[in-house]
Amino acid sequence: MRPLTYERATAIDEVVRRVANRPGAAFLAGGTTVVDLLKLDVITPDLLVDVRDLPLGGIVAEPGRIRIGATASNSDVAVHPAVRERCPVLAEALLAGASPQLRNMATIAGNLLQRTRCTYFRDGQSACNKREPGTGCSALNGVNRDHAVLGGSDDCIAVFPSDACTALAMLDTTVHTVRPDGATRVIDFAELHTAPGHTPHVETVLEHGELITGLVVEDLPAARRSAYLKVRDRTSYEFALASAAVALEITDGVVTAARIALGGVATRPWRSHAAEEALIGGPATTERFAGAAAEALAGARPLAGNAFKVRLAEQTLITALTDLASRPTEEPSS
Amino acid sequence: MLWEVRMRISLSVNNRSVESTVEPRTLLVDLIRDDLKLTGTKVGCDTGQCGTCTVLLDGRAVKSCSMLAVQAEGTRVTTIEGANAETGLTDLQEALWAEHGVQCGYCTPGMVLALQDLLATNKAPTEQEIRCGLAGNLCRCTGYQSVVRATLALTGQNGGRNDV
Amino acid sequence: MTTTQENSPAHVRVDGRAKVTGQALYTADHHPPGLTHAVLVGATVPSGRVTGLDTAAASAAPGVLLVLTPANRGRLGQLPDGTRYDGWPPEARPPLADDTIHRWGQYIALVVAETLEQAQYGASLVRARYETAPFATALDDATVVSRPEQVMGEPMQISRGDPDTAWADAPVRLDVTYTSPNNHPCALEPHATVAEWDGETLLVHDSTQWVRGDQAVLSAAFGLAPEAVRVRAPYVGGMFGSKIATGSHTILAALAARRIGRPVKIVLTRKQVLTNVGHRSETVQRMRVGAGPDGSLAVLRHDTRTHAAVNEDGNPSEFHEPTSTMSRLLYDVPAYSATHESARLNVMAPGWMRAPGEATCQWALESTLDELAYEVGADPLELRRRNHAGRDPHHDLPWSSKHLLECYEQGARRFGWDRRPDAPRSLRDGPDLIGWGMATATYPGWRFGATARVRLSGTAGGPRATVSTSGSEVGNGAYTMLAMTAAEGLGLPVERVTVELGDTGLPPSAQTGGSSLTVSTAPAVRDACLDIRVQLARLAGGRPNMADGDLLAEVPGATLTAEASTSPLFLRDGEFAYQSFGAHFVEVRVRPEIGRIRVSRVVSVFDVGRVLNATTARSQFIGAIIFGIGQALHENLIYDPVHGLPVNADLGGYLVPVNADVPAIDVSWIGAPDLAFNPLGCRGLGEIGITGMAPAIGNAVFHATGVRVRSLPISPAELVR
Repeated sequence: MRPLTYERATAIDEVVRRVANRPGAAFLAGGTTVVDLLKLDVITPDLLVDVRDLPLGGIVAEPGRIRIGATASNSDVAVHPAVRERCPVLAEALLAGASPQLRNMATIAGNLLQRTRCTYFRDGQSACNKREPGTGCSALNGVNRDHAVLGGSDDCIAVFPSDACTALAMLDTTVHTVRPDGATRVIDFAELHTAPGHTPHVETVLEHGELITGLVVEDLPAARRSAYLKVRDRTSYEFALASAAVALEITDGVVTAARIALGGVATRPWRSHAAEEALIGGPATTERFAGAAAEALAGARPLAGNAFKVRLAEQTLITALTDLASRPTEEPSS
Repeated sequence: MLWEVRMRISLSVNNRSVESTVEPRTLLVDLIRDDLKLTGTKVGCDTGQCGTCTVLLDGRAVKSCSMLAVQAEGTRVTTIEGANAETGLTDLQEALWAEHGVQCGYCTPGMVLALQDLLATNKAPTEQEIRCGLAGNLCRCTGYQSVVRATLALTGQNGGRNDV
Repeated sequence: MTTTQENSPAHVRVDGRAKVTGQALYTADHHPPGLTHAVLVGATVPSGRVTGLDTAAASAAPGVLLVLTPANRGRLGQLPDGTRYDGWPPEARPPLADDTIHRWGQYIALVVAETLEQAQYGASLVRARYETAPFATALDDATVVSRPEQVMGEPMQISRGDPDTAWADAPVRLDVTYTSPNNHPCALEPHATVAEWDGETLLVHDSTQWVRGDQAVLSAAFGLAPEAVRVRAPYVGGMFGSKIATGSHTILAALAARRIGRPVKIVLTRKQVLTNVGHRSETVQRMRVGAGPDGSLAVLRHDTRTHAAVNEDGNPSEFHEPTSTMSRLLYDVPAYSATHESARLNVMAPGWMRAPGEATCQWALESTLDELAYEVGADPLELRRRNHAGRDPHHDLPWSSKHLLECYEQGARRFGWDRRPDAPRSLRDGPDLIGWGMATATYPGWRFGATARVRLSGTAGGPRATVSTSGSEVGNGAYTMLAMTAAEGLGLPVERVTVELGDTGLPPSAQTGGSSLTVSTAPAVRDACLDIRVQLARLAGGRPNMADGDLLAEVPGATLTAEASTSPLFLRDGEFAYQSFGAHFVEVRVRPEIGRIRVSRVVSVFDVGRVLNATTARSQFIGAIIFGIGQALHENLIYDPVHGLPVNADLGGYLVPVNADVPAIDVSWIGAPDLAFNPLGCRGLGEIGITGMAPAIGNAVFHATGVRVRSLPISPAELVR
């Protein structure tokens, strides 16, 4: 690891100023991504500003919404009663990710900024437009079994790996930040992550030095009946080959509301409005679920190694919807 | 120069105050192993995946290879050396020993601390909860069965099974 | 520690306390005074030449003490080539020999610094310029293909009977090809060395399963008498074959320590472990079986392609995954042939991994037999009974002891195999398809030989014994097993026995490998104990048949010592073929839509002779069975065929089984002693458990889904519909 300096502070504006004023500075929260990539020499900040002393840790359940502080740990969010009751999909997605130790360390805001597991990004040497713009994409003609079939470009097909963000993408989530000039802003979750396009090194709309202070997840009636299904090569502790975050509201056999997002197959958190629309107003049947899955994957661009992901993602979505629809309507009391 | 930067940190390690001067890039695991010579904490993968470096930070299991030592400033760190009961072994360690929950032993300290965290929040985990609770602790001797059996025995749930 | 605890049979694992408290010291836990840290730099191209190596920045970095490169490495003595089984470098080319690059990750420099951080940073500052050359990391791209004649003395191109005619005449014929990917032993403790010199004497703490192999390699490298090199490995954090060869890092650590006059520690990164320590080669195995209408085998042709390293051509002890060593002898097949090709790739030279050859062979062989069973409409277990080999058809020798039919019977009963419907897709539980599959396990009898010393001393508290041999405790339970053997042999409580292992200063033992440590050392310990009893009886006036307590009462204040040895025995002698057997019965649950596979139940029965210690044996069996789950469903070390580099060389990418992958496992054994193999009647048991697991799982997946997957690992990608 290269030498660097480290600071911690207790005031938000000071933390923001410290990072904003120094091009090589970066925020440090749980460190599960940053320290990992530092060790691999993939990121090379010269100053880390630790945000853990900022007063941003709480989880507050209000009528109509849950406010999650930026530095709340993934573990704490996953077991919070309001999260489990109002949007179980988020709890399930969090628990499907990483390991207990990493969930204890990782923060929810850090999860939003998780970096890809693409091997060519992480190896620190291969051509990679995300790590070194303009060098090319080794995954396109390399080993791309794990790569994205949705949202990719000719410059990057790296998967955005977060399970939690797959859930947050299908919930009504907003991201709250403080900008370098001290102003606050609220970003729709759907607007936070950018498509790789020709600039895969740009992953979010955040400015350098802009600090996430928290998330707000608005209550959504459908989300009370929601679930996360993750398919992977081993039973736990692995990133998804494909995953689906789903919520359904079914009245008299008719789908009245639906939320759908896919994970493990796209370059950013991937909500599918088309799939949702294909369900709403019709019966909750396997045929309709299959139609929705086809809509969700309609734009897929598979390569040699990841062609199976198209069908796998469709089936993951169909299975998640089928399992959810067959659950008793009454949520079991916890 | 950046490499001349040293930081003085203070933290509690195994209920002892520790003052140490470290480079900001020093990992917590290297502070524990190289400076404090608490070598029960292991390194197995460098990438936060194997769990042999597990320690408790303010009571919760974390991976000390994925944290900077400076991040632990002001915290309470418990390593396997501090998890040992003053008078001998904890009930958990007794159970692991009795149920043969050790083979090469390299993953064992991390398993002990991960289980300690699990049992602190869940007094009687089911077999599946134990297996998922140990998701972050790889064992390549794959002595998983005996670790699960030990935990079930400890919490009085094994019911005489010998197939786990 | 109270005596009650020590006496409790439950606490029989004698190294348990040290391990559950973190007090067991592994190689990297040693911090001798003045210790320095070394980090290796690897090539970033798969083939070519280093045309310029800029070490100026690294040398100038703070704390850096030495940058070792081919330019300043200096001379190393001629390393042993492995043919005499006295020591084994991982590849014939010594480390930092020259500027040629044979593979990605090949070491090109070593940086030594005061602290680990400084060494890591220094390593990152070494800059290499390369001239690249064509390369191949995929079997189909290889330009050089070898046909190995032998591997460790066993012929690889063989034929018996008349395979051509038998194939032409066979009423039932199957021609199927099975593949398996690169696997890696991937022990949890990364390879590590701490080397320190005292004048012309070298002390090495090493993560090795063979301290004497290290001693031979290091003494040759530095031109020292063997006794000037002491190697210690009292605790090793797993090995599975990967710590037999003396790693290049060990030689370089010793070299650097001599150069700077201070102790040097080196710990490989996980990526270096996966790419610089030999893996299990991928295999492509074409199986052609001809059989009668009832499935009786008439002919088996087994044609294999594996890979080897481009730079190993001509190495007389080169290792090729010997896939046909079991197919030639497991069933009663009159006509048989095997061929073996090895494509030369730009990768690390493959090495041994738990059941090398057997685990890959059984995948192809036992899957093919399952296909044959469906082809002829026979129950898969019945098909194996029909082809049972009453004697070793390859060596034309009787088995020393074979109870495979009992394994089948006992396993089938414990599993409930008789309730299995033949047709695939006929068992269901909710959304899951259920499948039942089985396969035969087998592993040869090896005994590498060992000398053990037993000392019995009178102490104030009564007699105490010390058992010493240089073999390593690698997780196998050697401390426990030898303590119990001596306790039994001397009539002492086990807590009055101390065992010393893993030190070249102790009586010689071969490597802890080939499932041979117990079978080599335990009989030697037993014989040494007998010798001591004779000495005791003599002291007591030659009265025979004394009770244990009376004998031990004769122990004087002085010490009685005895040594005994066992000799090597590989696979067979003039009288017998030595082989272990077993049977796995596996249940899987498959969610067919998403291809999710869970192994939900395993019943395994083994015939490994007498089992000396049920607890350590059970752990070994279960561990190997779970290794087999990894082979079947997870493990796959991938090289990029286009860019020539490893793409998943970490523990997030190279998937080993996690706790949640593990089902209920019912292990039992026949226990019939094989007294022809050794006086205790035990054969090795560390490896047999993995053999046959992958095909049992694959066969169960077929039974569940009707989908025959012929390539490992079996993943959702293969099963999703």
